[in-house]
This record gives sequence, C-alpha cells and structure tokens, in this order.
Amino acid sequence: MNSTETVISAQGLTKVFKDFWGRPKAHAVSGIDFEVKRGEVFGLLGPNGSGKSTTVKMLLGLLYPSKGRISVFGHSPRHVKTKARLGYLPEESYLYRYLNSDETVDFFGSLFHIDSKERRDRAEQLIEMVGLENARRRHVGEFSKGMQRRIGLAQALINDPDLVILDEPTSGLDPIGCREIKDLILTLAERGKTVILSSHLLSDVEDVCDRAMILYGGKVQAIGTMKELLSNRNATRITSPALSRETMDKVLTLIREDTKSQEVHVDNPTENLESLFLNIVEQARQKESETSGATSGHQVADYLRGGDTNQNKTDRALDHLTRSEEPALSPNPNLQPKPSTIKEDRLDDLTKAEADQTPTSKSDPKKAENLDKANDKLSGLLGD
Amino acid sequence: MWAIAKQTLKAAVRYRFVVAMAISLLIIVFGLPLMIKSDGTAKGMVQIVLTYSLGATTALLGISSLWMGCGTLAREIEDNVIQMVAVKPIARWEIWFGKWLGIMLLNAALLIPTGLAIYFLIDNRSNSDELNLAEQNKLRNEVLVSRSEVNLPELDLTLNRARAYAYCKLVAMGKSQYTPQEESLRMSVTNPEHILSLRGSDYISLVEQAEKNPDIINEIEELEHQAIQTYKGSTEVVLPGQSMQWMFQIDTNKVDEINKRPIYLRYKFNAGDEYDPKSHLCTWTVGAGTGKRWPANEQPKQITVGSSVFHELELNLEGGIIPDKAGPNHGRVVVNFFNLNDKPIVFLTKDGPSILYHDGGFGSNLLRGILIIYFWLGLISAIGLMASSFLAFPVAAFVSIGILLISASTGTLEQIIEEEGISGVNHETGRKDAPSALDDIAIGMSKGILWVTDSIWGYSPIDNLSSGRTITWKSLGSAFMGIILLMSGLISAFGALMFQRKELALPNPTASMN
Repeated sequence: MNSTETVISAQGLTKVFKDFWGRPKAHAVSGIDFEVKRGEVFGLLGPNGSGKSTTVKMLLGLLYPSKGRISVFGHSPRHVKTKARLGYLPEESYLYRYLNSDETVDFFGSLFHIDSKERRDRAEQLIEMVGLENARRRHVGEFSKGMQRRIGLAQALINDPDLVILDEPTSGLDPIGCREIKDLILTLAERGKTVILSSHLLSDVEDVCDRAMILYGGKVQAIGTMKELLSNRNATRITSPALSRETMDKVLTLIREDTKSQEVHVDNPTENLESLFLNIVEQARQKESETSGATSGHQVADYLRGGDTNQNKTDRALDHLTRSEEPALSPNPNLQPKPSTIKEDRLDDLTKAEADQTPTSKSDPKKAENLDKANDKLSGLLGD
Repeated sequence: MWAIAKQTLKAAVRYRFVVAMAISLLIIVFGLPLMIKSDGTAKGMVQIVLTYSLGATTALLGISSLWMGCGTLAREIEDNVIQMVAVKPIARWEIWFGKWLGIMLLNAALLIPTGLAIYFLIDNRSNSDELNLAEQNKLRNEVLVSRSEVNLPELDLTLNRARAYAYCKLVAMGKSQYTPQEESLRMSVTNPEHILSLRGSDYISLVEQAEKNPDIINEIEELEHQAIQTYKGSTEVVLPGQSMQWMFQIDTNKVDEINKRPIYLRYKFNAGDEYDPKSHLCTWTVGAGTGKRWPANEQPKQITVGSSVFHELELNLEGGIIPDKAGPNHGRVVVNFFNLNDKPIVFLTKDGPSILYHDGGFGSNLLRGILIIYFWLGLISAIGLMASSFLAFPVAAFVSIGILLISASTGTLEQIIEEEGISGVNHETGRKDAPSALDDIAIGMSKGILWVTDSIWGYSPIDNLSSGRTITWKSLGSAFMGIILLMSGLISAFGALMFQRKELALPNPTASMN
C-alpha cells in the first residue's frame, strides 16, 4: 500500500429517494465526484440535509447509488471482505441497549473473526481509551448520549480499521471528549489510516482535516485542502515573544513603510476556551476524583497507536503548517476575514503584558471575571 | 453467523422473553392437567394430557417463533441497529441465517425441557399407586408405547378405457374357453373395469359411437365414474346383516417378535349419524382360514361401540395371533366384521382399519414427535423472518399469520379437486358437465398447493403420540426434507435475497426517534 493509493473514489454519485410508487421524492446527492487518498483526514462539511450522511451511507453500502459509481479500496462498498478494513461511528447511537460495554465491543469484534483473547485485549484497551472503564457492566441503554458515543467509537475501532468513517463524532461529547476524538483522529492518520469526518461543526473539521468537501443541496460547493480553503493570502501574521513598546513601534513603522497601509493588526495570542477547560480538568483528574460516568485523559489504545511517537505528531503538525498548495477552488472571498485596523490605545495594554504569565487575565478584567466564573462552574461540575 | 445467533438468543433472555415463555410452558405442562377432565380412565387421562400439553406447547412456541421471527429483524431495521452489523464483514445472508439459528436455539432451549417434563410427568403418572395393574398395563401397551401400523393396501381405482372396452367385448361373447391373450386380459383388468363390464353392452355401444360423435364422451366418462364409485363403495359399506373381510400382511421377518405381545385392531366407522353419533352393535373375528382364531375357544363377542371415533381391539392370543412360518399364511391377518345393525356401516378408506403392533418405547417416539414440532417451528420462524426482511414489524406479523392460516386451510382446495374444478357440478350426475381451462388451472394449482401444505402439515405427531402409534424415522426424515430443507429452505432463500437487496439506511418514517 502506498500513500497515493486511492481509498475512496466517487464519480457522478447520485442518490434519489423514491416513494412507494417509485416516484422521485428527494434528490439527496446529485452527481458528486471526489477521491480520498490513503492517510488523509477528509472532512465532509455541510448544513443539515446537505447530503453528508447519505454520502457516508453509500460509502458503507447501507444505501445504493441511484447513479454514478463508488468504490472503497477498489471494491464495491457491499464487498464483504472490504468491510473488514472499515470502522464506522454513526451519527446516532445504533447499539444494542441490553448489552453492556464489554459485551458490545466483544460482539462487534466477533463479527471480524478476531480471536477471543485478542478481542478481550482490544476491548480492554478501547474501553479504557474511551474512558468507560467504570461503566463496563452498565447496559448501553442506561448510558448518556456522550457515553453512547464513546462506546460507539470503541466498537468502530475494534478491528484496527484502515478507513474510519466518523459521522458527527463529537456530537454529544464534552469538550474533553471532543479533544480526545480529535487527538485520536490525528493519531490514526499518523499511522496511515484514512479518516472520513462528517460534521457540521466547522471547528472539528478545521482542527483535524487535511482536506474537506463542502456540500450543499446534495452538490459539491467546494473541495480542497484546509489551507487552500482557509488561507488569506492578502494578510501576514507574525507571532513572537512579548515585545517592548519601543520595539513594537519600530516593527510597526517598518511594516507600515513596507505595506504602505495603515491596516496593521497587533494583538496578544489568547488561549482558547477549549485549552483553558482542558487544563482545569487535567488538574482535577490528577486529584483522582471518582466518577461513575465517563472519565478522560486516557491514552489511545496501544494497537491503534502502532509505532506512534510524539515526534511523529510534531512532524505532522509542521507538515500541516508548511503546506502551500494553490487552492483548487477558492472559497468565497466574501467569507474571508478582513484584517482589522490597529488601535493605538490597545498597544499600551499589550506592552504592559510583557512580564505577565497570564495575558488574558490582564487584558480584559471583565473577560477574566467571566472565565473565573466558568472555572468555578466547571470545578463544581467536576466535584472539585 | 454464530455471533448473530448468540446475540439473538441473548436479546430474548435480556428482554425477559425467555422467562415469560418458561412460565407459560410451566403452566401448560403442570397446570393444564389439573384443569382438564377425561373419560375417567387412566388411558383417557394420559391421552388428553399428551394432546393438550403438546398441542398448547406447539401453539405457544409457534406464536413466539412468529413473533421473534418478525420482531428480531424488523425492529433492528427500524431502530437502525442493523446498520452497525451490516457494515461489518458479514454477508447479509449470514445475518439472516444467524437470526434464524438464534430463534431455533431459543426454541430448542424451551422445547427440550418441556418435552422432558411431559415425559417424566406422564411416566410418573403411569407408575402411580393410584392405578391398578390392569390400568398400568393398558397405559403401557396402548399409549406409552410406540406401535407400528399396518394399513390395507391402497385401492386400485385405475380404469383403462381400451382395456375396459376389450374386456366388455370379451364378456359379451359369453365364452367359456379363452385364448392365452384373452386369459391375460381377464387377469389384468382392475375391479372398476370388471364392474364396468356389468353394463358392458352400454359401454361398448357408447365407445363405438364416440368415434363418430365426440360429444358422447361425457356419457362414457359418467359410466366409468359410476364404476369407480361402485367399487369404492363396495370396499367401504357394510350393509345390515352383511359382513366385510380385510386382509393384512405383516412383515414376515417380524412375526415372531410381534407375536410376543398382543396386537391391536384400530378402526373407526360411520353410520349416517355423523352429527349425533350413537352406539352400534358389532362383531369382530380375526384369523379365519389361517389356523389362528380370535376370540379363542368362544363365540364371537358382540360389542357395542360408538361411531365416528377411533377404537382399538386388543387381539391377545397365547403364542400370538399372526400365523408363523410353520403354516401357509405366514404373516397374514384376516379380519372379519359383521354388521348386526339395521343401518349400513361405512368404513372410509382413509380411516382404516389397521393393525398395530409394539415396536419400541414411548421415549424415542416422543423424541421424534418433538423433532417434527421443532421442524414446524423452524418453518414458522423462517416465514416471520422472510416477511420482516422487507416489511415493517406489524405488517410482517400480519402477512406471516395470513400465510400460516392459508396454508392450514386446505378444505377449499380439496373441494376444488373433488368437484373437478371451480365452475360447479351438475347436481343430477354429481359431476361437472364440461370442464373449462379455468377448471384445469384451478385443479393444477390446488394440487400443487395441497402437495406443498401436505409436505408441511401432513404429519400428526401429537395424534400419533396420544394413540401410541409410531412416528417412523422415515417419516421424520421426510418431515426434515419437506419442512426444513425444501419449504424453509425456499422461504429462507427468498427472505435472504430480499434482505440482501434492502437498503438498510432508507429514511424510515416509523423508526423511533430516540
């Protein structure tokens, strides 16, 4: 298998739902073409009813195309042996409510003819990975939506799939779960696995996908790498350690002279809410708080990580950042963020933060107060 | 496939379906005998317990199989759970058969303990101190036993027109000496052809005219039909004051073994009082002309028995009643009946009489009977699964029940064959005047459907068990071939094909929203 191997190929893919009498009822997907290569994390983006789930279900052989062709690993999606290389997490929890976590993973594992010892080992790791080790004996029917998503994810990975299809994987998950899913996706991609991520949460796709296809009305509106789709080639951003007022003035002067423009924006990089939340929970977890629900912060199952190292992750992140292909289809220029003009009064605030370890708390007292409140609330939720 | 089967079984256990069924079966096996009343004899009681317990068990498990068959697949399709299975490397037909296998495992888990419970309950009853020795022996010899049945040879009702015509011509000649060819013809004619010769001149005349006038064929057929019916009637009807004789040939290799125990004459007659059965005076003798005679050393007994039900007569004779190889009538049992009533007595061909002899124990017979019931449950499960492969649960249940009801209601089809079509009969002749193509199609279809239903329901395990008659291994094999391999196989193939073609993720307006 090489990295240019086409894992999924769709040509003129069309799906028309018909009524009892065979009359067309809805055109869910209309003549879409796309290819996914091995090792890619490919995003399917679109609003509700845009044809994402229909496309996914055609990839899985659960729906049959009305027109066009689709192949997975060079075979029809209905080819039984090909399915051994697939892992699927559906949009909703379609699991047996009367089975517990162990039984669920074991049952789906048995459909792959994995021997029982290996199945037990993998189930053990997966259940720990998705943070359900405290809920092994609880029936899936008793689970919260988030826990059901977690066990759904575990069953999707029991066969160490080459192609993982995740339909709204972060739906119903808490921020920790979302982060873990994203990490997992990146880990899988590092091992050469192909991931299809169907979502309407733009941040999910932006964080992990190499390429994405935006669907609307069953048709492809845009397709390309994330960089192609998102980069604004009319602006430059430089990030450096905190600068003194004098240095800042020099830099700004230089930039203004060079660009002949007053539209230069200077700001402190801020930690996003997700990172803040994760830090707080990590601290709480280190205090070993007991919980009967899902836990977090577990490592990806060994057999899924393969030869994974932190170095690989870093390399990959660098690759991701340094890619500079030309866009196949330019996104709507109207959607591109406009650079804001510099506000001189903010410069003073920014330069004051020079020696401060937590810039956000100083920059906006009101915002800091809100974050403190959020912190308290989360601590309460976590039983701190 | 095994994983799916185990999963199906697990679902039945987790949803407490098994518990509910087990309690119901316990009530049937242990509660039903307390509620039913028999004719007061131990034999009657055991027969009723067997009939009701096994009948109710079959009905209950039949309904549960249908329910499981329809529910296990249809509900998983409606709840989308099947999608999670279908995306795994398992063929659709394997999912289908896995489900069927799961239901059959459940049926086995319920039917085996039920069969064992019935066996031990009845065995315990037959050894009870409350029964005297005679009653215990009667139970062991007539109910809790496996007895083979020797039936009369099938009647030869063939009537060959050319042969009948030649024979009529020969009879009309009134010869006393025959050529070898004529002798050969005389020996080959069947009984209906012989009866037809009694109206030989009419028949010869009609056949000769028919060569020029084909319309006359109806009259020829009418004469032939009458000859057949006359012969059939002569084998079934015993007029007042008349007697009837039947001859049974027992397998000569088994005679010595059979003679160690009493044999039984099983019979049923009708007497024109079908809706108000009464008792009738009869006399039976067995063994005339064979050197063996029953009753021995006494006059034939006059017995009073009711019409329209089966009776058994114990033919117990020292040294056995069947002539052994020492004599000329090895294995032959001759039965005579005398009608001492003022009305004709009718022995319908399908009802016997027959000879029963011991050939095994009750346990193995019960096992074979339960296996036939198990095959039926397999077929019912397959019908339910087949319907649910492409229909929603309530519709699938409705369709499955419809198929079962139609397959069990064969009266109309039998009537179509008997009346030779669907366009009605001439009430004067009792036959159809001019059969149409539609009649031929209807007869062909009816025969086909009857063949199918007969291969499914043409077994009577409960009736056989309650009357102590053997369900042969051959019959069991035939049931397996007909019910499981042929019918269940065809239905399963169709169901699996429909499931294979089904798009499992189609928008389903009836699916639950949770």
